[in-house]
Amino acid sequence: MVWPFLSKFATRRRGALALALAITGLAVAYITATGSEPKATLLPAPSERALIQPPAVPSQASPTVAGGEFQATSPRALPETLAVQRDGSPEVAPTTAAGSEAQPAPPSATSESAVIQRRAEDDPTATTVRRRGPVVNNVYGTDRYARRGDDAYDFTLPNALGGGEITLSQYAGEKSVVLVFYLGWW
Amino acid sequence: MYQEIAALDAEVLAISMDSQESLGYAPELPDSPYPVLYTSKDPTVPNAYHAFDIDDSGLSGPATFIVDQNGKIGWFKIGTDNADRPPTSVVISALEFLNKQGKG
Repeated sequence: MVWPFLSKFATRRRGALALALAITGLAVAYITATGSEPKATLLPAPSERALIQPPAVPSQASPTVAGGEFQATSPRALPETLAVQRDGSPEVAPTTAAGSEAQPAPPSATSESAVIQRRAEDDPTATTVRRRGPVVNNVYGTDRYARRGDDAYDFTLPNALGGGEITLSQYAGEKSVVLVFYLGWW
Repeated sequence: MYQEIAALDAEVLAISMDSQESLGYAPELPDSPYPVLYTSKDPTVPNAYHAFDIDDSGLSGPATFIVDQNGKIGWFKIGTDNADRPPTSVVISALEFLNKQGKG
């Protein structure tokens, strides 16, 4: 009694029922898709993430890793030092190698930098590049320049023109002095 | 140009590492209005100003210093090669700045 009615009803509404089921199925599929899969694309596996992320570019401050200040005698030492930083091995920085001289320096750019730094410490007249930023060209060490406000070295030198000698301090209190280091053929 | 510098209460001292004999051949020397000092290859003075052996030539680098009236270094420029020297206008403006600072 009931079944024919139900079946009749079902037959009549079969299309609507199928449509409702299809809509529900699609909704469930959509929810699963939006609920899980976008998360997966937003947060890839750690290995994938490592591939996606750009390599750490050393900033202006990162030469501290290489011993406080960047040192080199030529611009070609720059990429080598940067490679050392990209490897993430700051313990083989030039300062460490130069500080502990008993250890044999690693055979790489590190040893060269250590030699350069040792040369700069031993020989005060050695010309080294000492720059905080990247080395663009071979500019000489600002750290070992004279500084503004330093006492000017007082000298007494013979004068090639008029004979006699000139002492720097004889101008003190009267005049400023422009010292021009000069070669005869300039 | 030297008169402009002299008008700012400044004296120019040229310091060469040559000896007097080789300075004698420099063509600009006879009418130089400022003293030209020579050290005869002695690097003491350039070294004291950290201006020695800038370009690995064993000679003093192309450096210009302004020593103010208190005997302090007020301004300097150390070039990297013989062409890298400050123009006179820069030296003059540095002198003017230092003079203004000294008064104020």
